Amino acid sequence: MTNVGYIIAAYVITLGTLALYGLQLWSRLRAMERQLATLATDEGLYYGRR
Amino acid sequence: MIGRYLANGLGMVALLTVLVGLYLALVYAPADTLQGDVQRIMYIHVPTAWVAFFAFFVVFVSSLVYLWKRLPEADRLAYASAEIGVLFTGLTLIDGSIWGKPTWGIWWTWDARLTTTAILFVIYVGYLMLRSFVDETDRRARLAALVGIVGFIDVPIIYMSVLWFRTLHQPPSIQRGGASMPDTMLFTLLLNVGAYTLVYLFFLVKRVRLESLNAIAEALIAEKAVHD
Repeated sequence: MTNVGYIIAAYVITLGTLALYGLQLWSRLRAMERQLATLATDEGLYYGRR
Repeated sequence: MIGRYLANGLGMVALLTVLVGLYLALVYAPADTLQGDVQRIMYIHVPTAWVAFFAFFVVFVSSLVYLWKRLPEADRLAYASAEIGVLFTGLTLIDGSIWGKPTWGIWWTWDARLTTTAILFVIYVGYLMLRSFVDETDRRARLAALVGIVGFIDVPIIYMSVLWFRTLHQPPSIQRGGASMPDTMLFTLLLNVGAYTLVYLFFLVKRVRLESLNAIAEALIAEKAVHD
């Protein structure tokens, strides 16, 4: 591998990993917000029935 | 809502600063007289290492606060910061290895700096594993806080390892007496340190929010189970 190859590898791995982590975090947050919305609706229905 | 706008604004500023840092690192900064262009890896290796240390310092402080005040927010902050710290430590080890091959001729050696950094990575992976093994919330937070505090002892050892031991790794780039590099390189390095610190803060805000939402969801599920 040439020196340029080492530089590209280091930068692509670092920035790529950070971008993937950011995306994964965003996706986990969206999933959690959806789960909370469902739970809150269920809770509302529960108290509505009482 | 304002908090979310602020967090997203922080994300945008972080992204912009990383792009400027990338330009400075690859175009603006001069090549090193001894190592040539491969030394440009320093502009991501040092910032990722700094962020990892800072992240574990946040774990250390929040763990102390948790043990003292028993605040669940402090535990959530420690957990979020530990996860990001592990990510940055992993990147530090990979970048360092890629930089080591053309400069030292090897990908890895059991040198004091490298070994203590690998130990730090293992300690905090253990911290995350411990959290997933213990179900009871308070016990999990207490045990994790102990590991978060004791594990941080490794950080100053890593920093001092290049001064205490004979090692392949170069001494710290910036020391109390000044920096061992020209101003253009120092500026590029400091800007990149700032950029990756902003990335860390953005991830931390989002990760803490995830933990807070998770706590609300767990409370709702528990309440529902009681009523059912």
